[in-house]
Amino acid sequence: MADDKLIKLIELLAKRSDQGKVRWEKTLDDGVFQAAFSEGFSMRISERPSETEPEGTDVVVTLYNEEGEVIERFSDADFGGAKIFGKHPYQTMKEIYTTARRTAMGAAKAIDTIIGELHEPEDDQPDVRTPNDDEVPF
Amino acid sequence: MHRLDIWSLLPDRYSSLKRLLVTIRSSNANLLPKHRAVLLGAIQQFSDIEKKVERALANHSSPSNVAKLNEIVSLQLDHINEILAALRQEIGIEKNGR
Repeated sequence: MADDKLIKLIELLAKRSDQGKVRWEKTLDDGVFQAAFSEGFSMRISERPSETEPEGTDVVVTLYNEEGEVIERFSDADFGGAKIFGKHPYQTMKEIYTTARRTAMGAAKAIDTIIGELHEPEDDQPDVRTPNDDEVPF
Repeated sequence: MHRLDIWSLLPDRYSSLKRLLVTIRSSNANLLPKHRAVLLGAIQQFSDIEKKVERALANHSSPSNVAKLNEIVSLQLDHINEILAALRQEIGIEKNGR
Protein backbone atom coordinates (compact mmCIF):
# COMPACT_ATOMS: atom_id res chain seq x y z
CA MET A 1 0.00 0.00 0.00
CA ALA A 2 1.46 3.32 -1.04
CA ASP A 3 1.60 5.96 1.65
CA ASP A 4 -0.29 9.24 1.78
CA LYS A 5 2.75 11.22 0.65
CA LEU A 6 2.88 9.34 -2.65
CA ILE A 7 -0.81 10.06 -3.17
CA LYS A 8 -0.10 13.74 -2.49
CA LEU A 9 2.82 13.63 -4.91
CA ILE A 10 0.67 12.16 -7.67
CA GLU A 11 -2.11 14.69 -7.04
CA LEU A 12 0.29 17.62 -7.28
CA LEU A 13 2.09 16.14 -10.25
CA ALA A 14 -1.22 15.73 -12.08
CA LYS A 15 -2.27 19.28 -11.27
CA ARG A 16 1.01 20.96 -12.19
CA SER A 17 1.52 18.84 -15.31
CA ASP A 18 -1.94 19.82 -16.47
CA GLN A 19 -1.08 23.48 -15.87
CA GLY A 20 2.06 23.06 -17.97
CA LYS A 21 4.29 23.75 -14.97
CA VAL A 22 6.24 20.49 -15.12
CA ARG A 23 8.95 20.46 -17.75
CA TRP A 24 8.65 16.94 -19.15
CA GLU A 25 11.21 15.95 -21.74
CA LYS A 26 12.13 12.98 -23.88
CA THR A 27 14.81 10.52 -22.82
CA LEU A 28 16.89 8.06 -24.78
CA ASP A 29 14.32 5.36 -24.10
CA ASP A 30 11.14 5.53 -26.16
CA GLY A 31 8.07 6.13 -24.07
CA VAL A 32 10.04 7.26 -21.00
CA PHE A 33 9.76 10.92 -20.01
CA GLN A 34 11.77 12.89 -17.47
CA ALA A 35 11.18 15.92 -15.30
CA ALA A 36 13.92 17.44 -13.15
CA PHE A 37 13.45 19.64 -10.10
CA SER A 38 15.63 22.39 -8.74
CA GLU A 39 16.55 20.76 -5.42
CA GLY A 40 18.41 17.86 -6.97
CA PHE A 41 15.72 15.27 -7.64
CA SER A 42 14.25 14.08 -10.89
CA MET A 43 11.58 11.63 -11.94
CA ARG A 44 10.72 9.51 -14.90
CA ILE A 45 7.37 8.22 -15.97
CA SER A 46 6.83 5.22 -18.20
CA GLU A 47 4.49 2.34 -18.96
CA ARG A 48 5.10 -1.36 -18.60
CA PRO A 49 2.96 -4.43 -19.20
CA SER A 50 0.64 -4.94 -16.26
CA GLU A 51 1.63 -7.60 -13.74
CA THR A 52 -2.00 -8.37 -12.99
CA GLU A 53 -3.96 -7.77 -16.20
CA PRO A 54 -2.76 -9.66 -19.29
CA GLU A 55 -3.73 -6.98 -21.83
CA GLY A 56 -3.18 -3.96 -19.59
CA THR A 57 -0.36 -1.60 -18.69
CA ASP A 58 0.88 -0.10 -15.45
CA VAL A 59 2.17 3.45 -15.21
CA VAL A 60 5.47 3.58 -13.36
CA VAL A 61 7.09 6.58 -11.67
CA THR A 62 10.77 6.41 -10.71
CA LEU A 63 12.49 8.99 -8.52
CA TYR A 64 16.22 9.71 -8.76
CA ASN A 65 18.63 11.61 -6.54
CA GLU A 66 21.26 14.06 -7.76
CA GLU A 67 23.67 11.20 -8.49
CA GLY A 68 21.14 9.53 -10.77
CA GLU A 69 20.47 6.68 -8.32
CA VAL A 70 16.97 5.28 -8.06
CA ILE A 71 15.55 6.26 -4.69
CA GLU A 72 11.92 5.22 -5.17
CA ARG A 73 9.86 3.40 -7.76
CA PHE A 74 6.14 2.79 -7.71
CA SER A 75 3.28 2.10 -10.07
CA ASP A 76 -0.46 2.58 -10.01
CA ALA A 77 -0.74 -1.04 -8.87
CA ASP A 78 0.98 -0.12 -5.57
CA PHE A 79 -1.92 2.08 -4.46
CA GLY A 80 -4.26 -0.81 -3.80
CA GLY A 81 -7.82 0.40 -3.34
CA ALA A 82 -6.83 4.03 -2.72
CA LYS A 83 -8.42 6.76 -4.82
CA ILE A 84 -6.66 9.78 -6.28
CA PHE A 85 -8.97 12.66 -7.08
CA GLY A 86 -11.80 10.20 -6.53
CA LYS A 87 -10.54 7.99 -9.35
CA HIS A 88 -8.60 4.77 -9.64
CA PRO A 89 -4.87 5.65 -9.44
CA TYR A 90 -4.32 4.17 -12.92
CA GLN A 91 -6.59 6.81 -14.46
CA THR A 92 -4.78 9.72 -12.80
CA MET A 93 -1.32 8.32 -13.53
CA LYS A 94 -2.26 7.54 -17.11
CA GLU A 95 -3.40 11.15 -17.51
CA ILE A 96 -0.06 12.35 -16.15
CA TYR A 97 1.73 10.02 -18.55
CA THR A 98 -0.30 11.32 -21.50
CA THR A 99 0.40 14.93 -20.51
CA ALA A 100 4.10 14.14 -20.06
CA ARG A 101 4.23 12.55 -23.53
CA ARG A 102 2.37 15.44 -25.13
CA THR A 103 4.60 18.00 -23.45
CA ALA A 104 7.84 16.19 -24.21
CA MET A 105 6.94 15.50 -27.83
CA GLY A 106 5.82 19.10 -28.39
CA ALA A 107 2.21 18.10 -29.05
CA ALA A 108 0.89 20.26 -26.19
CA LYS A 109 2.56 23.33 -27.68
CA ALA A 110 1.39 22.43 -31.19
CA ILE A 111 -2.22 22.03 -30.00
CA ASP A 112 -2.11 25.39 -28.17
CA THR A 113 -0.64 27.10 -31.24
CA ILE A 114 -3.23 25.63 -33.59
CA ILE A 115 -6.06 26.53 -31.20
CA GLY A 116 -4.64 30.08 -31.11
CA GLU A 117 -4.69 30.27 -34.91
CA LEU A 118 -8.14 28.75 -35.29
CA HIS A 119 -9.70 30.78 -32.51
CA GLU A 120 -11.75 33.85 -33.45
CA PRO A 121 -13.48 36.36 -31.12
CA GLU A 122 -16.91 35.05 -32.09
CA ASP A 123 -15.95 31.73 -30.49
CA ASP A 124 -16.13 33.45 -27.10
CA GLN A 125 -19.83 34.12 -27.59
CA PRO A 126 -22.30 31.51 -26.34
CA ASP A 127 -23.21 29.09 -29.10
CA VAL A 128 -26.77 30.24 -29.74
CA ARG A 129 -28.22 28.68 -32.84
CA THR A 130 -30.46 30.87 -34.96
CA PRO A 131 -33.59 29.19 -36.22
CA ASN A 132 -33.27 28.10 -39.79
CA ASP A 133 -36.30 28.79 -41.92
CA ASP A 134 -35.55 25.82 -44.10
CA GLU A 135 -35.81 23.48 -41.20
CA VAL A 136 -39.28 22.14 -40.58
CA PRO A 137 -39.52 20.60 -37.12
CA PHE A 138 -41.81 17.82 -38.32
CA MET B 1 32.07 12.63 -33.18
CA HIS B 2 28.66 10.91 -33.15
CA ARG B 3 28.44 11.38 -36.88
CA LEU B 4 32.03 10.27 -37.47
CA ASP B 5 31.42 7.12 -35.42
CA ILE B 6 34.26 7.88 -33.00
CA TRP B 7 32.45 6.42 -30.01
CA SER B 8 35.50 5.43 -28.00
CA LEU B 9 36.37 9.04 -27.17
CA LEU B 10 32.89 9.98 -26.10
CA PRO B 11 32.45 8.53 -22.58
CA ASP B 12 35.32 10.68 -21.29
CA ARG B 13 33.86 13.74 -23.02
CA TYR B 14 30.46 13.10 -21.48
CA SER B 15 32.09 12.65 -18.09
CA SER B 16 33.89 15.99 -18.41
CA LEU B 17 30.72 17.69 -19.57
CA LYS B 18 28.80 16.25 -16.62
CA ARG B 19 31.47 17.42 -14.15
CA LEU B 20 31.32 20.88 -15.69
CA LEU B 21 27.54 20.99 -15.40
CA VAL B 22 27.66 19.77 -11.79
CA THR B 23 30.19 22.55 -11.02
CA ILE B 24 28.06 25.21 -12.70
CA ARG B 25 25.00 23.94 -10.87
CA SER B 26 26.60 23.81 -7.44
CA SER B 27 28.80 26.91 -7.58
CA ASN B 28 26.35 29.51 -8.87
CA ALA B 29 24.21 30.80 -6.08
CA ASN B 30 22.49 33.12 -8.54
CA LEU B 31 21.10 30.32 -10.67
CA LEU B 32 17.34 30.39 -10.92
CA PRO B 33 15.54 27.27 -9.65
CA LYS B 34 14.32 26.51 -13.18
CA HIS B 35 17.92 26.65 -14.46
CA ARG B 36 19.04 24.32 -11.67
CA ALA B 37 16.33 21.90 -12.75
CA VAL B 38 17.33 22.12 -16.41
CA LEU B 39 20.99 21.46 -15.57
CA LEU B 40 20.05 18.47 -13.41
CA GLY B 41 17.93 17.12 -16.26
CA ALA B 42 20.87 17.54 -18.65
CA ILE B 43 23.24 15.78 -16.23
CA GLN B 44 20.84 12.82 -16.04
CA GLN B 45 20.49 12.69 -19.81
CA PHE B 46 24.24 12.77 -20.40
CA SER B 47 24.67 10.04 -17.76
CA ASP B 48 22.23 7.89 -19.73
CA ILE B 49 24.03 8.56 -22.97
CA GLU B 50 27.40 7.82 -21.39
CA LYS B 51 26.10 4.47 -20.09
CA LYS B 52 24.60 3.61 -23.44
CA VAL B 53 27.84 4.35 -25.28
CA GLU B 54 29.87 2.43 -22.68
CA ARG B 55 27.58 -0.58 -23.11
CA ALA B 56 27.88 -0.43 -26.88
CA LEU B 57 31.68 -0.17 -26.67
CA ALA B 58 31.77 -3.18 -24.33
CA ASN B 59 29.90 -5.12 -27.03
CA HIS B 60 32.26 -3.80 -29.75
CA SER B 61 29.38 -2.08 -31.49
CA SER B 62 27.80 1.35 -31.96
CA PRO B 63 24.84 2.54 -29.90
CA SER B 64 21.47 1.76 -31.42
CA ASN B 65 19.29 4.65 -32.55
CA VAL B 66 22.05 7.19 -33.02
CA ALA B 67 19.54 9.67 -34.47
CA LYS B 68 17.65 9.82 -31.18
CA LEU B 69 20.90 10.07 -29.25
CA ASN B 70 21.91 13.05 -31.42
CA GLU B 71 18.50 14.62 -30.92
CA ILE B 72 18.72 14.38 -27.12
CA VAL B 73 22.26 15.79 -27.13
CA SER B 74 21.20 18.70 -29.37
CA LEU B 75 18.18 19.50 -27.22
CA GLN B 76 20.24 19.47 -24.04
CA LEU B 77 22.95 21.65 -25.58
CA ASP B 78 20.27 24.16 -26.61
CA HIS B 79 18.98 24.27 -23.03
CA ILE B 80 22.50 24.68 -21.63
CA ASN B 81 23.27 27.47 -24.09
CA GLU B 82 20.14 29.31 -23.01
CA ILE B 83 21.27 29.13 -19.38
CA LEU B 84 24.81 30.22 -20.23
CA ALA B 85 23.41 33.18 -22.18
CA ALA B 86 21.27 34.14 -19.18
CA LEU B 87 24.28 33.82 -16.85
CA ARG B 88 26.48 35.89 -19.17
CA GLN B 89 23.83 38.56 -19.31
CA GLU B 90 23.57 38.60 -15.54
CA ILE B 91 27.35 38.84 -15.12
CA GLY B 92 27.45 41.64 -17.70
CA ILE B 93 24.73 43.53 -15.86
CA GLU B 94 26.59 43.12 -12.55
CA LYS B 95 29.87 44.33 -14.07
CA ASN B 96 28.24 47.33 -15.65
CA GLY B 97 26.45 48.07 -12.42
CA ARG B 98 23.06 48.03 -14.08
